[in-house]
Amino acid sequence: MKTFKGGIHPPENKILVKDNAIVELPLSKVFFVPTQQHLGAPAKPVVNTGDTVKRGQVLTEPMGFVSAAVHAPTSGTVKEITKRVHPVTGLLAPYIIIEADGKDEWAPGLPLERDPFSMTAKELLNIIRLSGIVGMGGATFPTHVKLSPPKDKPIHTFIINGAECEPYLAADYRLMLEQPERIIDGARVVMKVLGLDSAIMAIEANKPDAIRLMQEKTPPEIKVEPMKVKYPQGAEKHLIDALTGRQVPSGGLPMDVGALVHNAGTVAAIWDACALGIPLIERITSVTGQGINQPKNIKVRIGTPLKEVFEFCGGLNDAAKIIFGGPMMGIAQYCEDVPVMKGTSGILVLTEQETNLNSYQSCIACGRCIEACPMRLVPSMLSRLGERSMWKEALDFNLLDCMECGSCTYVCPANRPIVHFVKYLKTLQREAKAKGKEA
Amino acid sequence: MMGAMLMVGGIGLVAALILGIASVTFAVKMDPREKAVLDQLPGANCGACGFAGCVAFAHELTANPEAEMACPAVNKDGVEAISDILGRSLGAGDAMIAFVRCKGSPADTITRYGYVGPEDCRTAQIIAGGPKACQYGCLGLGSCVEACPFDAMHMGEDGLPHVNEDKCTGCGKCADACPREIIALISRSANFGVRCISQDSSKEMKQYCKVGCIKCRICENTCPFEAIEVTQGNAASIDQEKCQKCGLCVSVCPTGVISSKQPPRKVQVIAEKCKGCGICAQVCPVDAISGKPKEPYVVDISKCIGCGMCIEKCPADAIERLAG
Amino acid sequence: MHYILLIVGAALVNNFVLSRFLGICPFIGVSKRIDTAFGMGMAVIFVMTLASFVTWLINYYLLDPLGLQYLQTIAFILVIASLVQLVEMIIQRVSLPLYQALGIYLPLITTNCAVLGVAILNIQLKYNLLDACIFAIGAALGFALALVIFAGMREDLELNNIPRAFRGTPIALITAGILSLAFMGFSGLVK
Repeated sequence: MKTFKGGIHPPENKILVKDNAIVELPLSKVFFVPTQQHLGAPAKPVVNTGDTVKRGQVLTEPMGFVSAAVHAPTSGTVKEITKRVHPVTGLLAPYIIIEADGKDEWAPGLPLERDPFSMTAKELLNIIRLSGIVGMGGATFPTHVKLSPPKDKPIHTFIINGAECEPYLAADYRLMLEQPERIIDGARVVMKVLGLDSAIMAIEANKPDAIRLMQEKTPPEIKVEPMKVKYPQGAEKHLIDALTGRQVPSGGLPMDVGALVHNAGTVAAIWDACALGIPLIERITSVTGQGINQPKNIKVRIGTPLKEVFEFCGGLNDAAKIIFGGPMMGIAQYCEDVPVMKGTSGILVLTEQETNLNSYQSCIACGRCIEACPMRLVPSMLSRLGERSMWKEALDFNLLDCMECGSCTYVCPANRPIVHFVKYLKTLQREAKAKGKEA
Repeated sequence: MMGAMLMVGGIGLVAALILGIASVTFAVKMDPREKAVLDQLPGANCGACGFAGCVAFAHELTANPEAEMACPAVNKDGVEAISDILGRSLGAGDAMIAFVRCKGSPADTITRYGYVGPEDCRTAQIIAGGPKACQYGCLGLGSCVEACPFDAMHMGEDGLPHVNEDKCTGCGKCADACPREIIALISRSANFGVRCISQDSSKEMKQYCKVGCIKCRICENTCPFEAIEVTQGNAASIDQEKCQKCGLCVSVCPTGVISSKQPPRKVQVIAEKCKGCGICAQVCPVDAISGKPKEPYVVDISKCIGCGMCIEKCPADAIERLAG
Repeated sequence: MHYILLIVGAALVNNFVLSRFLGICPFIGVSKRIDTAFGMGMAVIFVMTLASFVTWLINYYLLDPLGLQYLQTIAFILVIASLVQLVEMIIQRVSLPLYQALGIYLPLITTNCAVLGVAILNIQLKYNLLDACIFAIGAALGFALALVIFAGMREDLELNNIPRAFRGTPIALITAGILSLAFMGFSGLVK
């Protein structure tokens, strides 16, 4: 089976939630919609306090090409536009708070009924852009930008990412089992946009029923490829390496090797946008972990407060850590007043036993991290440089190629928080760069 | 004997000749000031300045207009001489010392989350802006203590760093290490400092800190020398050059955020010298001096705050400080 | 073949720093960074070779015929001192940063027992002029090698959490000792 160099095998823990069918969370009374749910330039609100909004109505205007709009998750009134804690940065960021009117009325004309395959690639790309679709694997990169590579970097390999390599998460898995048509049709739309006549769907071998189902359902032009179960197989650079043998160059992007990867959820959202005109306002999220009483895979609108998700899932039980995303690359939350966002692939509620709160020791130069690193870096060196804030030397060790996957931290016998050191060094480098620009 | 002398002498002469020629051929143009500066340095090449020897440090001082006087072996006259040579004043100014502008120990402030990671304030800062609710306050993980090359800082039981004034050299490494710029270098002779740099409003601060500056401006209004002010949105700060060390601000501050190194010494009237003019009673801000005209005045020690205004204004030099 | 053996012998088997324990001062003093270590190594190669050449000539053409062998030490030191002065001037002109980085250690090559050691050994081992120079080159190469290897190790040591009691010179000396042990592996390589 195809794979890449390095990587680790953490316990899957998907059993907690993988056999739970998707359930829809009942509509909340208040929705907290952050204006920044994507990587890139901010988007400014185009509604004011007191405005009535309908479900799917656009709420913000992107301030640049690499940016995305957000849309109203339900109908109601704009209660307030203010700053609240953002789940990704932990700092204050602008939010549009909507008080739902309970009617859940669509914006006029929605949902549409149209045939994406009779539209041009350009039209489809425009729809994707206006629908605020971003990478739903968690990175939230604006999809229309990914689908617009420069002319000198054409795409000839399109990969649908059904790997879901993070432990605990099963949202994409359930989506594949329960709504395969949305994924397949969305993939065909993307193929139309890119002008390709074939695509690969990658699914990790720990999901044999999904593989079988997809193999049945996919048309011949979409090949289903079972992947060796290893973290981080779902990382796009490693999918490309495993499937095509091509390596994205240091500092480069998948388009440099003519490849493009989309998460299965993103592709399903693309179908909704192109065929039904529905913008990205909801997603499937796995709420799991030993600390939540009833783990579920929920269909949830963006902006839904975390408290309501917890209530719906039976409440917390000895929770020590709450993570948005997976346990390897997710972001721990310190505040319960945060909402579900476009990129929230999972909500983990972990007990103390499931986390690692131990202190660390000096690097013993055992080399386990070097074996594990999927980007072929020397994490032990980066951690030692991080202890001494030596970011310039770290750049020589390809600091910026680190994708912070956490494999090194997971295997370190001295329990060193290597990814933390890397993030710290990157912060120092960014600050120095900004200062240099000012000077 | 003769032969030996001739031999050694001969070799020496030949060597000297070669070296003489070489010193001209390989001459390096040196800034003449550099030579003069080098003469002022001890020539011991001890490396305390951080450079590879006196020649290197002389070069640094001459070539780099921002270089500081880092040689501990040059006395005050030498520093002055070097300043003259280079045309700029070097370090002969005020001795500085580190001052920690935060009083928020964990007992008096709110902590938002349990931080797990390296014991370093800078690495904690990148996680959602740090575990402390106050974005301006000390995180207490000791990056400053770690950075001090003179062992002049230690983390106190109150979770805040403390400066050992005897060891502190004012090098500023702790200030550089602090991710929130809480540590400032102030003149050693300063006696008062405000231990807060928060820019949050009083309303916001009340939610997470009991001991910060609430910008009430009482200190600003009380100071007779306009030495302390609360500028737009910032915590109070003291202009050390104007501060006369009277201590009035400390006595009126509601949160006690202004710290003082030494309590000002109280005063007493020297009865023999006192002419009974009463000027001291007039200038005393706390009405601690009383008396009748033409009779020696008396200081009420319980009221006296040791501001020293009376000493300054007394025309007869009849007031003195009590022994500390 | 004979010359290769000479060089290998001087550089590896009987390394001047790690086997003969000469020249320890610059070894510990200049090995903190690889680039300064390399610069010092080059300077020493120059001084050792030239010094060997000149001292050999002085010994066999001036001291021996005049029966003044007892002046060997002082004459050799004179020559070495002057050569080092010359090298200092050249380095200051050619590369000011290297000159400043070497600092005090450059003139210390004068009192470096390794340089005097090579000069005296040449006489003791009764080498002819060519052998003496090749021997000196080998010795200097070995010196430079030991210096650069040690500098590399010290640069890496900087990044580790050494216990307080060992920081600085103590751990450097221990590491040097282990490096010497490693070089003992070369014994018997050249008969």
